Amino acid sequence: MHTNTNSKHHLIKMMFFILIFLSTSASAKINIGITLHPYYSYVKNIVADKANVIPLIEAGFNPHAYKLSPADLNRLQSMDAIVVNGIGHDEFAIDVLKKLNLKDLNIIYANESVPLISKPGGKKHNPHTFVSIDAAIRQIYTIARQLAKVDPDNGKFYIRNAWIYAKKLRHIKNQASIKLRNLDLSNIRIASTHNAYGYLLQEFGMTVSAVVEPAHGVSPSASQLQKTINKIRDVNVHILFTELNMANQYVKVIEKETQSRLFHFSHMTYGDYREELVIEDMSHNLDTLVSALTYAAGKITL
Amino acid sequence: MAFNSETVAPWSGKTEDIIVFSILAAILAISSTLLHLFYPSEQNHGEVTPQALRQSLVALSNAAEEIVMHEEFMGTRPNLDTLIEMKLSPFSENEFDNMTKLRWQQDSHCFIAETTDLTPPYQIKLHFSAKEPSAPPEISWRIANENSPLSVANCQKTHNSNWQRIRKSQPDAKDAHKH
Repeated sequence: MHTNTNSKHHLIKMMFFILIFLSTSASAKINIGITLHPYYSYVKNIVADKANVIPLIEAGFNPHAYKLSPADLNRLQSMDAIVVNGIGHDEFAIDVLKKLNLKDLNIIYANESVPLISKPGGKKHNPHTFVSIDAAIRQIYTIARQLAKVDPDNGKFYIRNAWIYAKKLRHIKNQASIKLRNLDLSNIRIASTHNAYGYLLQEFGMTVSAVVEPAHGVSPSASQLQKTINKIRDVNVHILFTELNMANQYVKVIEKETQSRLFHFSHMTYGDYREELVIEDMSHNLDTLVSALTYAAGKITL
Repeated sequence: MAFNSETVAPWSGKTEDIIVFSILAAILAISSTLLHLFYPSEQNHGEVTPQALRQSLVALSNAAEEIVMHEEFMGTRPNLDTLIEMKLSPFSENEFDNMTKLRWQQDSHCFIAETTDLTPPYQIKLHFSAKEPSAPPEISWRIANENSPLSVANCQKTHNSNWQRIRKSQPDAKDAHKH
């Protein structure tokens, strides 16, 4: 009888210690905030299950015109670190972070080491560094290095994961490069309805000849449309890149009037926050790029 | 009570004009001097990376991280031949004709290259600190000229030799296009 009571006590003690251990290891996870969809993918691939990844704003909102709500601010205060674009795509967060000046929050500027596409003077930049492979890898390494400082116990794990993730991204680029290797890309002229693809195109030695829309998602007036058509005709554009899921009737008009062909890229800032988003959408973008450049190179040869 | 009166002769108007304009000019000169003193020109801080070099610098920045990781995980720093063998951009031969071509040299702590297809030619370098092995590597670029031939001897020269370091972007920088 006495032995039974003793073993029961031991069992209860063991369970108690297991519970304490589990709760300690759960609370030991750091909370990492992100401001944009691609950063969710980057951070989730870096930290796996060793940290919590928390989007600052809920899915479905346009980050360009967003104002933080009290719920967002509560989330912000629970974070140990936050990964930001910091060069113009998440001004809604940067302004608030400056005002709040949270001393315990580590702000990770993902783009701090990316050579940026800048306007003369170097103070205004194209913020779409995440729509690319190499600039994305640069950001992933910066994030991993900074997270390793915030959470040194898991630092090596984060850096190794960043390396593996970068390899996966580079594999997508290498597959596209193989397909493009024998094409003459030197005379292809490209227009874009959104100035988001400069970093992606520069990886293949391409530049955008004309950006034909002042803001994405905003349709131009009739006179603006005519100017756009004239601009494309002037630079003799072969292919026109626009955003995925962007229902713009006027783009079809441009395509018809200018004899250029339309292709869709993903901007990667839509829908739910997903770990696989960047790999999936960059694969789509590079497949699209290969199709577009193959079409344009063939058109020039003819 | 005696009053002491003084007669003031009016000026012509021209004298007053000269005095007023002189004072205005002095105020402007002093204020612009003070502005220059307290808020110096930021021209040097706003250096824009040349378009033809940007992709090579992005790739070099990634390669720098991977060289450090190679060192951390494998214990050795890969040399130029190994990097070319690993097909690590921008050290390996470029696959596309429209991409910038580079010719590389290396000494123990530095990789330096010159473009072979650009006018003017540019040089880029990746420098690891010999004194502080844990310090992050430095990446810089400059326009090459007859006084700056491609040589690993130039690796150590950072000051007064026109090298532009890849600077950290401004956290409060604004988007270049309107949304």
